[in-house]
Amino acid sequence: MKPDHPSRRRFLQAGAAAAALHAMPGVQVLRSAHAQSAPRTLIAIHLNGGNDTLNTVVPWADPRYYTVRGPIALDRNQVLRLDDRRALHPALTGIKALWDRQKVAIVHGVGYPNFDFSHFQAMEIYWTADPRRSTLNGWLGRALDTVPSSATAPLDPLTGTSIGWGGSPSLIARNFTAPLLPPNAEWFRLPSRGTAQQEALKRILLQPATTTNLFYDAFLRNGRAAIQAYDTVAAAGTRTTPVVYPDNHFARGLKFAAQLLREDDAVRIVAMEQGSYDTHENQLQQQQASLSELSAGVKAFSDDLDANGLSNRVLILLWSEFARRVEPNAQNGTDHGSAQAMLLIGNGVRAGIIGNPPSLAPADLIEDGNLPMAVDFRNLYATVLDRWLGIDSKSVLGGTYPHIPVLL
Amino acid sequence: MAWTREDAAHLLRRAGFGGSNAEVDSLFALGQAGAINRIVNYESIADAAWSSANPLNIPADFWDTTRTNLTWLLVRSPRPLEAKLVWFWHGHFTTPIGVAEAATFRKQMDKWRQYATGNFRDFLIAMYKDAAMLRYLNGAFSRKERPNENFARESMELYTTGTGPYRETDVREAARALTGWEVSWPAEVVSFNARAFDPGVKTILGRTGNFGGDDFMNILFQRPETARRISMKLYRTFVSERINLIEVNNLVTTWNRTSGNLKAVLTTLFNSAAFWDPRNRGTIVKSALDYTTGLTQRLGFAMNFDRVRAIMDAMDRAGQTAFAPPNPAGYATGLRLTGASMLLARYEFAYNLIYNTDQARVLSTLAGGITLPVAPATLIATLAQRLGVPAVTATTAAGIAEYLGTAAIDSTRFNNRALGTLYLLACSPEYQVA
Repeated sequence: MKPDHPSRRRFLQAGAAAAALHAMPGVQVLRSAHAQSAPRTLIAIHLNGGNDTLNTVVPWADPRYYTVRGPIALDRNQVLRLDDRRALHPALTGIKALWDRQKVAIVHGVGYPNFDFSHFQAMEIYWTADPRRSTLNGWLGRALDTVPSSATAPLDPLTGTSIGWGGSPSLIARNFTAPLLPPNAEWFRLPSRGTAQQEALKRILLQPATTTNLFYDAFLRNGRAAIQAYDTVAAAGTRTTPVVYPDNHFARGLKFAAQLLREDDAVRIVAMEQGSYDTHENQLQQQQASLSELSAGVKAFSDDLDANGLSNRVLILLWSEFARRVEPNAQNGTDHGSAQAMLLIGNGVRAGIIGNPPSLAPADLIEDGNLPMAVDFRNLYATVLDRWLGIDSKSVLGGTYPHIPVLL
Repeated sequence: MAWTREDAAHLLRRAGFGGSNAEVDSLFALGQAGAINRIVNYESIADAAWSSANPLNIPADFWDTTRTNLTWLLVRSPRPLEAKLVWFWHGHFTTPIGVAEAATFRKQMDKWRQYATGNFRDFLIAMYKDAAMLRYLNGAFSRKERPNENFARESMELYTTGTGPYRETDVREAARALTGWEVSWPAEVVSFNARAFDPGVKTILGRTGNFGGDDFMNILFQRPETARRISMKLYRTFVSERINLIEVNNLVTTWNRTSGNLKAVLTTLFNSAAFWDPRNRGTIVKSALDYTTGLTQRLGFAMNFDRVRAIMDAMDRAGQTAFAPPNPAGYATGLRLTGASMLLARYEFAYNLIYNTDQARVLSTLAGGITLPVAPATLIATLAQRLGVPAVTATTAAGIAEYLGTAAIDSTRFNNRALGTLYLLACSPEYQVA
C-alpha cells in the first residue's frame, strides 16, 4: 500500500464512490459511476502452459526463495523491485514501466479449492469458472449471453472475439458466436469473383441453422460471424498508429485489437493467448523469452491506447492455468503447480498488490510442495464482471463472490 | 444393404482424404469386403517413397524440408488409411518438429508408421523411448534425485487411461520409474544410464514393485481405461463424434481378444454397422489437412512441391500447423476447427486452387462431359456429386442457383459458372464435414 501517492489517493476516492454505488442493489454502477461513452473492454490473455508466477512476482527479500529455488532463483540485483518484498522478473521491463505509472494491480495466491494439475482440466476450470467442470459455456460467453439481444437487435458481431490462432473456449456462449480473428486484419479475407458470387456465398452462410448436425451448424454460425464481422475488420485494418509494436504474432494481435477498439465501440471482450510457459526444463531461458514477448507487447499496446485516447476503456487480465511447483526438478525446470499471481493492467486498476508473497516454509505448502490458494479466482472474475464490464456476476458465476479491491 | 459408389466415396473420405473420382471408382469396383480389405490391409500396396530421406528432392538451402517431405508423404500416399493413421498417431503421441533434430523427428514419424496398425503395448514401449518424445516431454535426463513429471503425467492423461484412475502420487511415482533415459547430442541416440535411474520400490495405480519404464507402460496398457479410451478416440476419428457406447464396446472386445492389436480393432471398426450408417455421415469435421488435401486430390492435381506448400500454408491459418501441434494434447479437432478465420482460410485455399492454379485442369477433371446448355439445378447436382458433397441442402442450392440465374448455361458461360459453382460448393458448410 502506498497511501502517500497522490494519484493513488484519487484512485481510492473514486473507487470508494464506485463501491458505494455498487452496494445498492439493482444499480447499474459502471456507466453511471464512470460516465463512459464507450463501453468498457476486457482483454483476457491466457499465458499458455502454466506460468511460474513465483519467478514473475518474485519475493526477492525472502531468503528462503533463494535456497528453495536454487539454480532457477532470479538474481536479487536484477529483478525489478516493486516494494520491500516484491519484484518483477527482469524481462518485464515494459510492465514495470506501467507499474510506475500506476497501471498495474497484482493479486497473490489466486486459485480454487482442490487444484487440478492437468493443463487441460485446469484451463477448462478457468475458462468455464467451474471447478467441477460440468459447464460447457465459458465465463465470458455466459457474460455475453446476459447482454440483452434479440433476433431483430442482435449483439454487434464483434462484442466478443478471440484474436490468434484458435478460439478461446472462455467465449463459448449460448446465443452468440464470437468470431475468431487472425493476428492481423489482412489475413481475414473473403475471396470471390464478383458481387454475384459474394452475394451467393453470403446467402449460403446466412441461412438459419436448421439442421440437427452440430458441426454443420458450427460452420454455419462461424461463417455468419465471419461475414458479419468482415467490413468492420477490414476498416479496422486501415487504421494506423505511431506506436511501433514488436515483430511477433502476439504483438501483432494486440495491434489489431487496438485497431478494432478504435473502429468499433461495441467490442467488449477480447480473448488471446500468449507464450509457452510449460517450463519443465531450462526454465530460466524459456520463461525469459515468453515474459519478454508478453511485456513488450503489452507495453506497446498500452502506449497505443494512450496515443489514441482509449486507455480508460481497456482492462487487461493476465492469467494462466496454474503456476508451478516451488522446488525445481533436476533439469532446472518446474513441474505443474497451483496458486498463481494474476495481473490486471489499465488505467482503471487500483494500482498495487493484493495479498502477501507466498510463504515458502514447507509447513505452509500443499500437495508435496505447492502453493496454497489465498483468493478464489471467481472473486476476481466477479470483480471484473460487476465493476468493469457492468455485467451481473451472479448470473454468470451462479453465486455471489465478494469483490477484490483491484479496480477503481 | 446394397454397396453403392457413395459408400466407396464415404470409405475413402474417412479412411483417407477423399481421393480422386477414379480412386473412388476403383474402390467401388472391389465390392464392400474387397474395398475394406484394400483399405485396411494396405501393406500389399507398394510405396517406396518412405525409404527416402528427401523424397521431394528439395534443394539443400530450403528452410522447411522435413515438414514439407512429411506432409507430401501423407497427401500423396497410395495407402489412404496409412496416411490417416500416421497423422492420427502423430497427433496422439504428439511431438512438435522443433524439439529435436529434423532427422530425429523423421525417425519418429517412421516409427509411428511402423506401429500404426501394430500392437498397442509394443507401440507404448517404443514410444516412451523415442528420442524426440524424450526431448519433448523432458524424459531425457530425468534423474532419480528430483524426477521430471511431465511425461509421467501426460502419458496417463493423454496417451492411455485419461484422467480418473490416477492421483498426484501416481504421477510422482511414475516419474521415478521413468528416470535414467538420456539422449546424446547432436546424434540424438537414446541410452539408459542406470546411475540416474531410481531403482527403488514404487506404487503406481495400486501396483507395487521396482518398476522401470517398460513396467509402467505395461501397467498402463493393462488398465481397462486405456483400451476404452483409444477405442473411443478411433471411433470419434473414423465413425462419428457422437459416441455410441455399444459400438465402442465392440472395439474394446476386439482389443481385449487380440491383446491390443490395432489392425484388428480397425477391421472391426470399418466392418461395423455404425461406420456405414447413413446417420453417421457428415458427422465429423474435416480437419485442415483433410479439407486441403481432399480438395487438391479431387480437383485432379498432382501432389508436387507447390501443392504441398499451398496445403501447409492454408493449414497454418485453418488451425493446424503441420507437424507442429500446439501442445501435448495434439491438434485441434472438431468444433475447435470451425472458427471464423479458419473457415476463411479454407475459402482462400479453395479459391486459389480453383481459380489461380490451373483452371483447365479443374474443368477437365470435374466439369467434363456435361451436355450444354445445362439447367442450373442439373449443374449444381452434377458438380456436387463429383466434388464429393453427397447431400446439398436446399439453402445452399438456392444460394448457388441465385448466382447461376434461371437461364440454362450455354458454352459461353459454362467455364465461368462451373468454376464459380465448385468454389461455392467448397465453401458450403456441408463440404466442411465428412
